[in-house]
Amino acid sequence: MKTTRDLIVDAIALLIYLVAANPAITGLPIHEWVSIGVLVAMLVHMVLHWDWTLDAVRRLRSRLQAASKWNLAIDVALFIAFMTCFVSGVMVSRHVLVLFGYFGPGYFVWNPIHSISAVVLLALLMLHTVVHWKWIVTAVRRRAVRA
Amino acid sequence: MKVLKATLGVLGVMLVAAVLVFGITRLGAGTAVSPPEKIAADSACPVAGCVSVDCHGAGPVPELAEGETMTCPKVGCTAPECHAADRLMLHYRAPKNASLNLWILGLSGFAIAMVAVAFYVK
Repeated sequence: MKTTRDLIVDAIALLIYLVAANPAITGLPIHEWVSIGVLVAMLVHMVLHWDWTLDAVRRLRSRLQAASKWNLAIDVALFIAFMTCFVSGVMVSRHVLVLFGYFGPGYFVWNPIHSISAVVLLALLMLHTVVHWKWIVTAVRRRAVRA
Repeated sequence: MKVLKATLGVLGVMLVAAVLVFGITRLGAGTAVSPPEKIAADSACPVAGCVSVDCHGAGPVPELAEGETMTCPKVGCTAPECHAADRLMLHYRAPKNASLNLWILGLSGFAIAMVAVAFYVK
């Protein structure tokens, strides 16, 4: 049950991300609004794995396996890239922020940060998926067989 | 209760990370970076420090009229002419980095498809 829930949440999160990551196709207004959906998806994903994260951090110095240490390192890097991309995205926002009557100064500082962090985020997200690929395939296969 | 605790924990970490990202960028870029400001009639152009008397809000940057100037938006540049006026005119409201994402996604999809084909042919 828990695995099914995680699988569904992750699939939805990935789908929302793929829409948000391609503003050339969707246009900027959709990109900005869907990106807020990515933040919510990220929040839910992190809440679901919060116990594992706390446990991994606690065991970091003692009994944590090397694979889990790498896993945690990738997750932390992914989180930093995501937050950098999100904060810089808010600061260069021309639709969501404006709707509330605000603008973010420093466009030429935030814009390259947004571009670079978006690419780093995509690369790390792929790495994150590859690391968990075995879990994804096993979970999907078991459910397919059962169905 | 457990979910609420986890949600608060994640929100806290996100907030700290957001403040750190902003703070570190501000340390690096100086006064060019500041928190979002309210758009008012007397606001400067939000994109480039345009010194036109009209507020352009966050709309498309207009062609400069005769006599209007822009200050260079590049951090630390004190040249009187704007180095990025063309970027402002042409790309301000157009997504730019997405094409790179599409390239990465496209190439990855192609590589995965090739591996899958090789796997099933074998």
